[in-house]
Amino acid sequence: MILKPGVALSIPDTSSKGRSLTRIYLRDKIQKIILMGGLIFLLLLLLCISITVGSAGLTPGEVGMTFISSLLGSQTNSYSTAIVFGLRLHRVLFGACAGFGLAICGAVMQGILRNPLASPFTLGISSAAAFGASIAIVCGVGIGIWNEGFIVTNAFVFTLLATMGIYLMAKRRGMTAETMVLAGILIMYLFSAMTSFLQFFASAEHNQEIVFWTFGSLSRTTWEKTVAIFTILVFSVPYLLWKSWDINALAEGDEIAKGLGVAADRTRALCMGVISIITAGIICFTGTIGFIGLVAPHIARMLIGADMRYLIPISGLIGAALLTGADILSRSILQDQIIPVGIMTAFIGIPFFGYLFMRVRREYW
Amino acid sequence: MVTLTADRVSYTYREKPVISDISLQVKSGEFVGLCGKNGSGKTTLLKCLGHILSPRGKVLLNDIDLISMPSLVRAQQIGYVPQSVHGRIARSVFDAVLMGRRPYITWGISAHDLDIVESVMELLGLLPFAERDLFEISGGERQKTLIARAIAQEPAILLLDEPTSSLDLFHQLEVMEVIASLVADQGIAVVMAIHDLSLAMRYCSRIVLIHNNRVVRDGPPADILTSELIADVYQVDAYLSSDGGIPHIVPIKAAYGA
Repeated sequence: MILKPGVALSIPDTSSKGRSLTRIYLRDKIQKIILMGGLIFLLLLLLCISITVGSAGLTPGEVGMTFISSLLGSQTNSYSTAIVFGLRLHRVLFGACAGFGLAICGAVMQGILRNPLASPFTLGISSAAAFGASIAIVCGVGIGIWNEGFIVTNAFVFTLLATMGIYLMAKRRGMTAETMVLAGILIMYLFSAMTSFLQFFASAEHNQEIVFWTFGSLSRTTWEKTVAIFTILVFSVPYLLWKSWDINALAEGDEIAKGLGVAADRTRALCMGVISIITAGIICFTGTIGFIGLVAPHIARMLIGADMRYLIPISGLIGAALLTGADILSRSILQDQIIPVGIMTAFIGIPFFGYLFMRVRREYW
Repeated sequence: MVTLTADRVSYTYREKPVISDISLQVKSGEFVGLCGKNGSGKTTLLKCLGHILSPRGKVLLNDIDLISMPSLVRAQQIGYVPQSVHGRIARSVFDAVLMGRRPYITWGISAHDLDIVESVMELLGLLPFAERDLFEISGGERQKTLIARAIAQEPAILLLDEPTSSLDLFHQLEVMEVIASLVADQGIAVVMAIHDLSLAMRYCSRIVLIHNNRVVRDGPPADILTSELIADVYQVDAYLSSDGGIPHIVPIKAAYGA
């Protein structure tokens, strides 16, 4: 026997009621779309600025000419082509993809764990990646065939292990948002202690390398890495958007989500799986870049509310703009020196984190 | 006509039975009050009926086991209103009620969805709060928002867990009147866990009394809510009155050692 949908409400004639909610809904939708357009414009602007910044002595005009020449297929200056296409463009695009990815991971984590402090950084996932990288640096042990491959694959594997660890520990205790965050804190301390342990026995050279890795940097990017992270985003973002309503419902609590027909445990597990792959794909190449995943979703939520259908793309665009902006600062503050971008994101993120903390105490976010 | 049947339903939490061997049938047009002391298993039974928890035994909707029913189809038939909000995400009242349309939508929201949400919010007097934040309004308005969300699901069966517990007198009556009118006009079935026996007696068409994890009485309010049974189950001496034609229960004192 096939059930019909439940009892249809007899809706009174709404034509005379003015459909005030329809107007509110359409107005909000237009505002969100305009905001998204504005953010895309801002991001493009920042990307253009970012590609002209650097110590190679190229003027914005020369960078622009290099682009135009290569688009037209005409003879180009090999020095400027090497700088723009060989060094800067993949770094800039990787930065935007990484900012986008970390921000959407934070947005989804905060939703499914119902916790405003959830992000790849605060849940200890970055610490696990740092430990994986440290093993490769200090012991030269890892999965892969060349030394940098050890660092990348170790960081990737430990990121996945940490996420799975958080998920399994929390599942055993009943999968509440609180247990999952407690598990994350536990994992963060565990891996930080193990990294410190390795550092204690490591040589000065290895220690320097570990410290540099944990700073988080875009200096190690290549075109292959940019394509890899772009591919991960192309497959994962549509899935997360498709699950937007389910994540919205999960943010209200498991009981409400189940009552609305959401398979709560399965959805949370799948979403955690997807965001752990995005996070692993990014931080295995960059090292620890904190705060983007925490800050960007909060800015987005303040601007447009908590609807994941818009929160995911808008958080992503804000994250991409923030990381691109931080990268511009990191390359232009000191002459002939590039400050690791992870330090810049922390400088931007920490004051904001403090501000959020004050808000969270009011149990409102 | 929709029938929700619990067939020998039991649920244990950490090896302690919370409800044991409960069989129950609820039909369209019934307003069932689930009564019993704190910890008697009312909330657990409601959650089992809505498949929020997976109990031993069977819960059937028109002879279809809820386990084998796709979750979105189930949510089109059964709405569940918990006692309180667990989420802490700032969301407008409108967005919160709109989420009740989840079982019908995949991505976009249709004019029909918006019409339903607007009608439900008007029914519960929530339109003036539409753009307010869920955590800026009073506890009573928030409770009504949860009820509105479940009604926006257009369920054939509505399960409510003490919906009037945080409401003042005015809002208690308002919510009970709205739910009673949904039962009378739309023919939905309601199962409501309720502590206020006077409200239960006044509005419910049937009372199911749970004691020591089991159903001990099931029938019309006048037959179930007697002074003797209240003394037995609640250990409270009480008398029943019907001043002005409205039945109510007046508790006199706690009967310790009864």
